[in-house]
This record gives sequence, structure tokens and C-alpha cells, in this order.
Amino acid sequence: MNFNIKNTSVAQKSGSMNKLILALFFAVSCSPKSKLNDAKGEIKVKIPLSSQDGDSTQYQMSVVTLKGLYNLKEVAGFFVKFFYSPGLNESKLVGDSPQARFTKTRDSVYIPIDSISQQMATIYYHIQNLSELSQKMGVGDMNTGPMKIGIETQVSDSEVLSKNNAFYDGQSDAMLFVPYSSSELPIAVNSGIIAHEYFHSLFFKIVLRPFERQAEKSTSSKISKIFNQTYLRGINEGIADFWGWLYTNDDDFIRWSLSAYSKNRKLVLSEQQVGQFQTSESILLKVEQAVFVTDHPSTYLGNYIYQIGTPHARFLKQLTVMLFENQSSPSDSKLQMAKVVVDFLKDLSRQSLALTQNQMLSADLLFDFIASEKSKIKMTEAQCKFVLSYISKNELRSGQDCQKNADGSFDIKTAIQDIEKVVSP
Amino acid sequence: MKIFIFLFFCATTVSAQTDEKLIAPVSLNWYLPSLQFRFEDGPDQSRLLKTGYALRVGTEFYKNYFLGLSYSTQTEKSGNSSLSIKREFSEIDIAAGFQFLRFDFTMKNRLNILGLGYFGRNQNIIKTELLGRVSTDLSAGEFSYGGGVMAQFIVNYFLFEIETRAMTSGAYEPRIVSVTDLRLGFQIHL
Repeated sequence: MNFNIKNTSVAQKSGSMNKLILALFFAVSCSPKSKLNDAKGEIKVKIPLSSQDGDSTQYQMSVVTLKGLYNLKEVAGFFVKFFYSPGLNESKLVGDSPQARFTKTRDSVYIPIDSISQQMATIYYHIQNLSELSQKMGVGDMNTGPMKIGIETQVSDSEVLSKNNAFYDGQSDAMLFVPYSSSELPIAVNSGIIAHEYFHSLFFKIVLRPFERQAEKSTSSKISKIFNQTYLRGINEGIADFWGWLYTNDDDFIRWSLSAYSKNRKLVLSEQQVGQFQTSESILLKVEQAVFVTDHPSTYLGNYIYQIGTPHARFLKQLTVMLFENQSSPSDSKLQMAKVVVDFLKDLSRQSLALTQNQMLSADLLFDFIASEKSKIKMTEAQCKFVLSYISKNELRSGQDCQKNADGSFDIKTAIQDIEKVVSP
Repeated sequence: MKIFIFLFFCATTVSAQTDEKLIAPVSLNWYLPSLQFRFEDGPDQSRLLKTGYALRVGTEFYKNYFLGLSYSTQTEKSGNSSLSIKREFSEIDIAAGFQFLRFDFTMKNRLNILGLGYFGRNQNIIKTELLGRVSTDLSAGEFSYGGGVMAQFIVNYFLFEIETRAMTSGAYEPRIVSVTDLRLGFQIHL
């Protein structure tokens, strides 16, 4: 093949063009980092959010403000630090920060351009709100510093946890989201589930961590250990569901992402269910059965704990709704109940640490607490009777009734005084 | 965008008629919709070679200079049937370059190597579908610029071009993106 190479006079003619091309290459090679690194402080983003439309809850795209951001590229800030597909190293979460992608509109709103970035912005927003809620309840110091969040976490040793799930890991103090493969709303944007997991972090720090430290030294029987563990797991899950409702006002927030669990965990209390819960006797029976049939009773009781927890969640939600009539606004009564729950957790921690060998926690501790003066709830007669329907199951309280106080509120004071005598060590 | 393309054609046509000596086009290049490969961040935290499409028209003038107008588009989707995000990226660039190397095989068959500079503007349209409802957002436009090299095979009136360039823009992730185009077209000599 013959051909001529013509370097021609173009080289001379195109001197200026050469310079232009070189300048462009230079400009490209000196190009700065992503603009998202410079987006910090308060940033507006558009995320999927649940909102109330009458009695029903809807999800819709909404513009919200993320506060305290250090860097939008990693959606890292005062409230959250993300890890992508993290691992554990000596109880510490390790892994790279996921890199978010947003596009900015003319109104300076950042729109996530992929699902992971959307999840990061959504989680950040909810953790920010939940942290502010914790501050109002006086437990803001429980979660100090940015909360560690793992997304697309790979869990190999548990089939249940490996997909379509989220959990709080006390060991690493991190909230972990595993890959979501269902066709429903991803868990990482479900505000109720995020609030549910956030509550677990509070429960762990107030109740479980001190209890577990003590349990390591305990020589209690296997049955009593598993009983206490099961009860605590149960109310941890139950109150976490209540927290999800408290934050979203959605009594069926689970249905958006895990509809199969909706029927059993929906926070709607039928008349027949009022006063019904798993008593100490029924929990003990189940624990004994678990110990008898399997070497892994905790796994065996994995579903049962929701039977313990959900009646507690429904009770708390129903009582909060009933308290709406006492308060100037529903949010006031929600905040009041949230504070009552935090006080209950502190009380529960004290009681669990005071357990002597082989002693088991009482399964009606929450109801007792609400009925007691410790809860500081000024109840109407209807509210008092509602609470009474839970505590009157105990033989020690049979024959008690709601009594009117001088200020017009009702309580079950006499009954509680009796109980204090029994419960006090 | 359509007006921009229209004006470009008007400009090249008018210049061909009125000022032949200075910028008289010697040919007009028309291309079929082409494949474009962009190496950039994907929706799953990895850097991917994404395939998109591009349109281009161009003109060569003074025998060795090239001026082209490109329109690139790319679509990316992530999420599931309840919550998904569709990103429609589009960019329009003016490409200007010169031929610095030429291999003549026969009278009508040759290979030209061109250096090119680009300047343009891009935009994203984000369609977020949440439980069946679609929310559409349009990003603010961002400028893009870059430089690259094009190998142009000419066989009679037909063109086959491979072009690779480094582009940068505030809208890109990462900020510098490698773009490669494969094009087929034909050349009309004026």
C-alpha cells in the first residue's frame, strides 16, 4: 500500500489552534474536584417523604433542608457518616464513603440522580430530625457525633438479615441497611423504619448495654437469662415500632417496604385486643419450649418477640392518641409520650440491673410504669380505664379502679402503692 | 437546542455563499446517529463505560479545518418499580479542530488525524417515579469543555470516524470524563 504522509503547512497555519487545544488539555487536567465537595452547611435536597393526607399517609417527593453538612459528595455532616458495604474491624465499622451524585436546579435544589444518593440524602434528613427529637426528650447525648450508617451492607452469616432489612448494631454503634431486592419502597427511604432503627440505638445505650455487661458476669440459669433477653428484645421491637409511628404518624409504616409484616405489626388496636399482651407466664412457657427444642433459642424466638412487642406498641400509640384531647396539639402529646418512654427505659435499666440471680423481669413493667406516678401523666377517666385494662390482669391488682384526684385527673394510685411494695427489692 | 442547530446550519450555508475565500467550506459532513461511550460514575458506586448516542454535523473548510456541532444524549436508570430515578443527560458541543496529519491511500481514500477542541453546555432531566407518580426536575445548565483527537477514514464519500476526548464540566462525575464516539457518515464536497 502506498500512501503519503502530509504534514503540510497546516502545522504552521494552525499554531493558534495548537495553543487552543493545549490550553484545553491543560484546563481539563487542572479540573477541580467535584462541585459537590463544595456544597456544605445547609443544603436543599429533594427526597421521598411521607406526609399525611387526612387519615391516610402518602409518599411524595419533597424539598427539605439538610443541616450541618460538611460535604454533599459524601453526604457527611454533623448528623451522619456513611459507609458503603462496610465491614467490621475490632467492633469498628470500616469501609469507604459512598460517593453521592446530585444535579443542581436553578432554584439551588440538589436532586439525587441515582438511588444510592437518594437513600443517603433521605437517611441524613431523618437522622437529623430524630437527633433533634432526642434533644427535646433529653437524650440527645446518647448519640453523640455523626451516626454511622452502612448502606448496601453485606451480611453473610444470617439469611434473615442479608436482604430487605435494616438493623442497629450495638457493637459498632451503627445503623446498617442491607441490599433491598423487593419491589416495594426501599427500607432506606422508609421514614418509619429509620425511626424504628434509631430507637434501637437509644434502647441499646440506655438499657441493653448496661444489662449485657452485667449479664456476662451473671450466673443466672439459662431459662432466666433467655427470659429476660426475650422480654427485652420484645419491648425493644415494640417500642421501636411505636417510635416509627411517633415520627411518621403512620400506623402502618411497615407496609410500604415489608407488606408481609403489616398485618401483625400494624399499630391499630381492636376492642378485643385492649388489655391483651404476652404475660410473664406465657413468655416463660415459650422460652422453656425454645430451650427444649433447639440449641439456638434466641433464633427460635426471633418471630415471637414481635408478639411481645406489638401489644406494647399498640398500647402506647392508643394512649398517645387518647392524650391528644389533653394537649394543645398532637405533637405535644407525642412529645410527652416520648419523654414518658425515655423515663421508662431509664427505669427499666435500673430494674434490670437490680435483678438478683435467676430473677426475671415482669412482662407488665411498661403498663405498671404508665399507671404509676413516675410517668407523670394526668389521665382522664377513659385513659385511666384503658391503662387499668392492662394492669388489672395481674392478680395483685384485682379489684382496683380508677380514682379521681383533687385536680380532676384520674389514676390508679392505690393499686400502684401496693405494687411498689411487691416489686421493691 | 433546535434553534441552535438551525442557526449553525444557516451560518455555515451563508458563509459558504458570501465569503468563500475566508471560511469557504470545502465539504459538509453528515453523520448517522452514532454510538458514544462515556467513562464516568454509575449508579452503583463504580466507574462505568456507559453507552449513549450522539448526532453530529460538521463542515471542513480551508481544507484542513473542521467545525462541528454535536448533540449527545444518555439515559441511566436506577431503583425498583416503586421508586426509580431516570436521568436523561444531554449535551450540545461545538467542536473546532484542525487536521495535523494526513495519510493519502488513493485519490479518494485517506485517513485524517485531527486535533479538536470542544465547548458546550449540558443539562440533566431527572424523572423520579415514586409509587406511580412522576416528578420531573431540570438541572441548571453547566458549561463543558475539553480536547481530543479524531481519526477520520474517508472512502469515497463515506466517513468512518473514531474520536476520543477528555471533557470536563461542573455537572460531571468525575469532573473529567473520557468520551469516545464511533461515527459513520458521508461527505458532500462543495
